[in-house]
Amino acid sequence: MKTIFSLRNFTSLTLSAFLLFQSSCYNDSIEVLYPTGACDSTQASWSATIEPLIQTNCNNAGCHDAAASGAYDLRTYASVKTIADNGLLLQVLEDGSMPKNSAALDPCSIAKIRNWVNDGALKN
Amino acid sequence: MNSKYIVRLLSLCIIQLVYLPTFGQDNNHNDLEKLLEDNNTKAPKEYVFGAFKSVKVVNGQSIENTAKGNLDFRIAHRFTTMSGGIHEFFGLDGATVKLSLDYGLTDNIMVGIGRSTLYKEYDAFVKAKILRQTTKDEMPISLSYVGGMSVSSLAADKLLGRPLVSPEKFYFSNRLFYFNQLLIARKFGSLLTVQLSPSHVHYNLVSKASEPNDLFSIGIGARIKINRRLTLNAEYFYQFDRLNNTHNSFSLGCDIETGGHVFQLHFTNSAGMTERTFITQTTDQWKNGGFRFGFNISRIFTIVQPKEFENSRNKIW
Repeated sequence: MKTIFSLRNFTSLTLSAFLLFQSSCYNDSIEVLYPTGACDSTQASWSATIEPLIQTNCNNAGCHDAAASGAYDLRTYASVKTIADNGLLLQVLEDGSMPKNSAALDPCSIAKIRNWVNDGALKN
Repeated sequence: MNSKYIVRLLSLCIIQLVYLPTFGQDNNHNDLEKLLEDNNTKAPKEYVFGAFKSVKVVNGQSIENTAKGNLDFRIAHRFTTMSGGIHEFFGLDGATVKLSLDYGLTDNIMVGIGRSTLYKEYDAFVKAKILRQTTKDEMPISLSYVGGMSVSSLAADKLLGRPLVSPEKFYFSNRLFYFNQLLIARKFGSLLTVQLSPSHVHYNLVSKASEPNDLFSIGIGARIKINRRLTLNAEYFYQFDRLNNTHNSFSLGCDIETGGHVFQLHFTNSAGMTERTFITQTTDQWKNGGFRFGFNISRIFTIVQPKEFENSRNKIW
């Protein structure tokens, strides 16, 4: 009786399965890969999280404050809300073009801002 | 005249038969013995069979394979521990279940897939016979290899023990576990079978950095035949490397065979039924009632009928 399980099929199947398994073998631990006290970006609010971030990174002296050379004065909620809603805020943070002349924001802060924007950029 | 001739011929034959050995000189005699010996060695080896009644000793793999073309549908339960007493009806109030399908690709190679309640785990394995014990001890042991992997489909926060926070990603590889096992078994007469199972379990992700990802252990299993339908089985896995708060697995039970079914009833301190769970994730201890009742039921279906029965009118095949 002819079966679909020829020795050749079986060998190639076993070999490819073996290679697949080998390539997905890791030696990780939760302690190292997922340290506790890691970023919790789920509870981001305007007053507690976003406003302090904007103050330290965006509207400090010489940047997006009253004397800003650019078009964006980010000292008020309304102005931040505008660029949050049109997508500019996340775009410049994620591509690293802002903050200008300094390191990009850490992934945790960006995640907090992203969550806040996705939740409707509320003044909470 | 004719009959006389026949009688003569017959008597000559008889004389020949009776005296042939004595006529033969020593050389001839040796040749004959040699011939007989050669015949003996060329006789096909007879393999020992029926070392265990089932492809599992209790939790662990046994040296037995599902026969070629046979599909083995297995239903296994492990109840909660006896320590709950009558309030938990001695553990029968709660159970973890494993459903699995094993299939014999050839008489020497079998594959299987399964799904367990515990850790919502899917598993697959391959078992291959390497050596087979023979009745005349040309080969004193049977040797098989089993290799497999499992995937836990539990939610990431349950595997992690805390909610996943936004930039963190829970990789699919974190859910994977692998095991490799050698089965070395010998059947001593019809009464006793003993099996050693050196095992290796790999975790892609463990809890603590101090815990090893590769866990080595050795299993010892035995089967004592009581009668044609009943055997007693015992199984113990000693862990050389151990994850925190886990213990060695020990199980005691019996196999009852009825036509087409094997019922395995047992007591064990392991809740899991996949290699990585019962070897390395046994959290209960026998003392203080930390053992539970469990059973495996096996039903075999013939998918590809053996050649000998192809033209059989018996529709059972």
